[in-house]
Parts: sequence; C-alpha cells; structure tokens
Amino acid sequence: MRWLHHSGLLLLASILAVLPIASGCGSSDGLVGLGGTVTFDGTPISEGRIQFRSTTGDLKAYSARIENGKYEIRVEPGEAAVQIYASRPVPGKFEEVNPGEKDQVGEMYIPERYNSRTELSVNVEGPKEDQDFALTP
Amino acid sequence: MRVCEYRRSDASNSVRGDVATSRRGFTLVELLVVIAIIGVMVGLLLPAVQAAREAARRMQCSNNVKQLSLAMHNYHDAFKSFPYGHKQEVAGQTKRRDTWYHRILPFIEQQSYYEAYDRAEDTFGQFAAEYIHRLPAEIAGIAVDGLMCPSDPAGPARGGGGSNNGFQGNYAVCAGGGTPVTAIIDPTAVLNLNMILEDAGGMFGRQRARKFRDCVDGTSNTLAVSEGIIRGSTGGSWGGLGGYWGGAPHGAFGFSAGETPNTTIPDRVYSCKSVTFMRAPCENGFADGLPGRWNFARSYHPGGVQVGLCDGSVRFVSDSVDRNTWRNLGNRQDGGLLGEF
Repeated sequence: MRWLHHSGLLLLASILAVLPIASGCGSSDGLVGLGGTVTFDGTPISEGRIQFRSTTGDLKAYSARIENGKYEIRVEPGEAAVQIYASRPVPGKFEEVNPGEKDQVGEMYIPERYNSRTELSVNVEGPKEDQDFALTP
Repeated sequence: MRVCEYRRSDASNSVRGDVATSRRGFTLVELLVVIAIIGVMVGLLLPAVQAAREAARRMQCSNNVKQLSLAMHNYHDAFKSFPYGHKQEVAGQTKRRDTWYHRILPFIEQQSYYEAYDRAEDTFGQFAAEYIHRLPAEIAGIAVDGLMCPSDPAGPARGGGGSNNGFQGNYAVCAGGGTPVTAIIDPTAVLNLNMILEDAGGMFGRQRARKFRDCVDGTSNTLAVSEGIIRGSTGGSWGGLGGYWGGAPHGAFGFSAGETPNTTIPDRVYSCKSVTFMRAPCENGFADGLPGRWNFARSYHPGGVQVGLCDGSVRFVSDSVDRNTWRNLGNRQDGGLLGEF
C-alpha cells in the first residue's frame, strides 16, 4: 500500500515534468497550412515566390518561396488574392547601376494577371496539400 | 554470534553507533520523487531564465531606439528640420549616398567620428570620397554600438553597401506606409511600397528634410525609427536595411510600413545577402527585374518590433497589429484613424 502511494507520487511528478515541454508545442496563430505545385506553361516554376493576400479584414499578406515547382505556406483562412512571381536573367544584358559593377539584368516573366493585376484567388477553408496553380503565358 | 561481536566492537568505535542503526533512511522511491520535483523546478526555471535574457536585450534595443529618437529631436533643434533619409546623388559631388545616419552622428556622441568622416576627401582623396562606399573600412567599418540591436546575432556586421567595408546597423527611418497604385480603393490593389522617392508618404525620403510641421497626423501618430534584421555579419549586398555606407538608394536607409512587422513578404532591395534568411526573406530586385525597393520592420524579439515615434516615444508594436493601423502610422498625413497598437 505504501509502495503504491509512492508510485502515485512519482507518476504525478513525471507528469509535471513533461507538462512544460508538452505545452510549448502546437500553434495558436490561427493560420492554415497550404501547399502544392505551381506550373507555368506546363513546367514547374524552378524558383519564384507565391503570395496570398486576404481580401477581407486588414488585407494581411503571406509569402513563401516556390522551389522546383513546390511551395508550402501558412495563411489566414478565408478569401485570398494570389500573386505569383518568377524571374530569369536576360541573356547578354548588363547594366552598371553601382560604379564599377556591371550586373546581370533580369526580368520577371510571369504575366501581370498573375501578380500585379492578379485574377487568381482561392477560398482557404482548411489545410490543403494540393492547392495547385497552372499558369499559362 | 560473530556478527554480534563485530557490531559491538563497531559501536564502541562510534559514539552514535546505536542511534545510526536505528535511524530511518530515505527509500529509493522517496529519493526519486525528490529528484523528479527538482527536475520539474529546473524545467520551469530554465526557459524563464532564457526569457529574462531576451527581455534584457529588448530593453537595451528599446534604449537604442530612444537615443536615436532623441538625437532626431536634437538635430531638429539645431537645424530646424529632421535629417533627410538619404542624399540625392549629384554627379561631381563628393560623399554621394550620404544618409541620415551620417547626419545624426554628432547627436549620438560620435562627434569625432563625424569629423573624421567629414574630412574624408582630404584624408582619402577625391576618388574615394566620391561615393561613401568607396571609403576604406578604417572609416566606414567603425561599428557604433547604439545602432546595433543586441538580439541580432549578426552584429557588429558589415555590408549592405556592395562590399564588406561599411558598417551595417539594425536601425532605419520610416519612408512611409505605401500608397495605392490606383485611386480606387480595391482590396486587391497593389500598393506602391517603393521607398526610393522624395516622398513615399513617411517622414523620411530622398533629399527632402522634413520638419515637425510636416507631421500633419501628429508626432505621436507617426513612425520615425524602427529596427530590422541584418541577414548575417558579412556578404556583398546592395540595399539591405542598415547598410548606411552606399546602400541608401537601394533601400538601406529606411523601412516601409506597407506590411506589418516581421511579415513573410520579402524585403526587395537591389541585391540580398541571402534570399532565404530565416525571419527575413529577401528578393534580389535588380537580378529578378522587380520594380521598387523596400525593407520591412523586423526583429528577433518574440512577437514584435521596437519603434520610435516622431514624438520621441518608444513603443513595442506587435506582429499582429492591424495592417491599416500600421500603414497609417507610417504615413505622416493620411488622416486615417489609428486602432490600438
């Protein structure tokens, strides 16, 4: 009986010991995880950025990198306007903006209907791993 | 019988022998319980100690922002205006790309440093003094303690101005909160966040030195100074926040309040030290052919950034601040209502 009493105490102590560690996990920021594939003209965008901007409330935006066509992002639930950017160097074009430094000029090649005048939008309802975007030139 | 004898002889050696054998010891379980309780207490205390260290660093950072805010006021007393964000570049002039940082030096007890900088043309020659990023590390590389946030492990850092010559600090002035590209208030309308303008909506811009009277929204409703993240101690880049020595026209002088503190939206400068830096994503504006240059307010303090308002007060603004409130704080004459911040 005495032994039992002690092991009860021990159990309590070990629960107490684990509690602070366990309580540190899990997020409470209300954001939702999204992921998927972004293709342009059928091929995955090798490097770029994707942005979700809520179209309600204070219009907060969230951004993530696209790598090898894949992205992972955490956004607010609700309606969001999506913008996608990707760039490539302009062959043979260099400019000297800073004295003594010739730098490769680049261009953003995604049409403006996918970024600065975006027509893309999604309704984020919950976590989703196949929120894909297929862009056309 | 033998054992008995042994015990007796043992007892005779010790005065407390009999008492000791009759004293009740701790059982293994009791000891384990005690150890477990100590473990719990240490577990509770350790994270708390870490938090206390961060609190101390945040307080020091807050003091840095306060000193900068006071320096701005003293500058205004002396010159009847705030300093410019950065100087308009004019061919043939020396000290091109000079910023507010250089103007404010005498007001943060760096008078002799300022004078050495002022004499740069005599000391280092006309060519070196034409652009401030050409100045050697012995003058440009001097780190000023008050411009470094102790929570940023990068400090004392170099960079932001093309080479590793120039000191890069954590503090920048507010260029504005962005203006809608179209007059129509469309929720999805893209804001123009570009800071490299004479007037991007805030108190600091290219060449224009503004006065208290320009702060139409009121000095306690307008941002002056904030902190940012440096993205590592070294590395070539143009325009990273705090790159006072040559990065100014690429964004280094200031920050935009177009997005809330510690946003996941990348800074967009001429070139980045890193595009994937944790807590501070960045875009190579030039190499990626992207228009506009900006930095956002960022910090290593959990949950927000330290900012200085034009009235000289220092506030800790949460990452979850309402975006419109934050933007209105950034703009000096938007007339918008401020929510809680």
